[in-house]
Amino acid sequence: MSEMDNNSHGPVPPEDAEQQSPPVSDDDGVESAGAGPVAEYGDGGEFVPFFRRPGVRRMQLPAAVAVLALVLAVIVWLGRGDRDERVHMAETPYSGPRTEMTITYPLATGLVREARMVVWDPARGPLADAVVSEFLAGPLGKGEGESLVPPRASLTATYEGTDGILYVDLSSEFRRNFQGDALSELLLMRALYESVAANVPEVKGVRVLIDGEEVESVGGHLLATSPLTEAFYPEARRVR
Amino acid sequence: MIVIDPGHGGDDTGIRETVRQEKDIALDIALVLGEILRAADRQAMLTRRVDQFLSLGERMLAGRDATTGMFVTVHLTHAPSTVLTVRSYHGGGAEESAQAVYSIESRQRRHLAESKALSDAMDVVASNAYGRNVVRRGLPLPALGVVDAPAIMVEFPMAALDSPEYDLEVMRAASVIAIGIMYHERNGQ
Repeated sequence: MSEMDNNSHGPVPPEDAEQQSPPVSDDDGVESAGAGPVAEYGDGGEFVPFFRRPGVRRMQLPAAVAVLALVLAVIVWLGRGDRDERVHMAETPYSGPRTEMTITYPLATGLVREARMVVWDPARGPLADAVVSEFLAGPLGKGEGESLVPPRASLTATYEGTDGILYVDLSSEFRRNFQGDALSELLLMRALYESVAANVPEVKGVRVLIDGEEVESVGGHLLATSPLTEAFYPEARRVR
Repeated sequence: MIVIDPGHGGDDTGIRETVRQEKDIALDIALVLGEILRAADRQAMLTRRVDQFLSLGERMLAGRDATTGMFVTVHLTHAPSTVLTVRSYHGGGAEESAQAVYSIESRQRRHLAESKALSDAMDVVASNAYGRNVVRRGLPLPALGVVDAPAIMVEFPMAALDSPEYDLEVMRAASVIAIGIMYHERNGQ
């Protein structure tokens, strides 16, 4: 028997016993030993994959814990809602000056008002833009009813007319994703008007445009051909 | 002439559920309702008979022509109840502008009492059909405002219509409106 043979088949220290164990198979029955990207030869010249080397073996438990923590972190990050993200933005001290706003939101149960601090930099756009964007983001409060703000709708721009009418140009999702009955449409439009009027007092009325175009109706129940004013459905039910 | 207006149509789908859309269900109810009314010797006209887009303006024109009968617009709601809506007018008296008083949308004012009576009749019938689960509303809906005759919006619960017994539910909804109309006529005489 050659020297090499003795090294290959002689007694094995306990800590190295697993190095000599047969290759393990994964769930599909595919042997993984020798298939790793990094491998070296042992002292006896036998093929030892990197994950069977003693140092690497001792690192497996901490590595598994780290991978588990990473997976949990990804799950938590994916599961966070837009609301939490906005809270984070509002509390970030580096995002710019903050302004207090009162936004009215339409819920299936009625209108709710929420006061909040919103990041708004006058140099980056008019206040009306920030108000409408905050409106479209939906309410933070939970448990008072489902929000009627159409999901994924975004603000394209606002234009202030000389007659005090604010033209609010919204993406097509505002119309396409509206899912409500006649009362829901009334609450949606009233809430949009109230949100703007409460924060931009010089605005006397709000006219909704979709993708830059005038539309006859947002939800098929109400005319959107004239500006929303204070006289538009003031009797709307208020939850708070 | 009874004008039946199936809500939405074309790319205006209304409420979208997993299987059916509001525009299709409203049309199915309206078609059956038209058949029931004609079988009962009533003149009925539908604002649309197929899946087509109809602007609110076009619906208002149709409603304006319903000067000798009544106007019923059929919709659906996410609410668990049948919803009966008549036109409401905010304010009044000296505070209200002349423009508002004399606008075409004010034509319904003189028929409000009759519209509410029609709503009362529908309430009785719908309560019997759906187990007393009816909500009454007054809303500033333009399609009702222009009608120079009793006018009402009936919204059926989507959950009730979007069922395996779809055809039966459509007939039940159409029957509620038809019997409500006839009950109203009978009480009015």
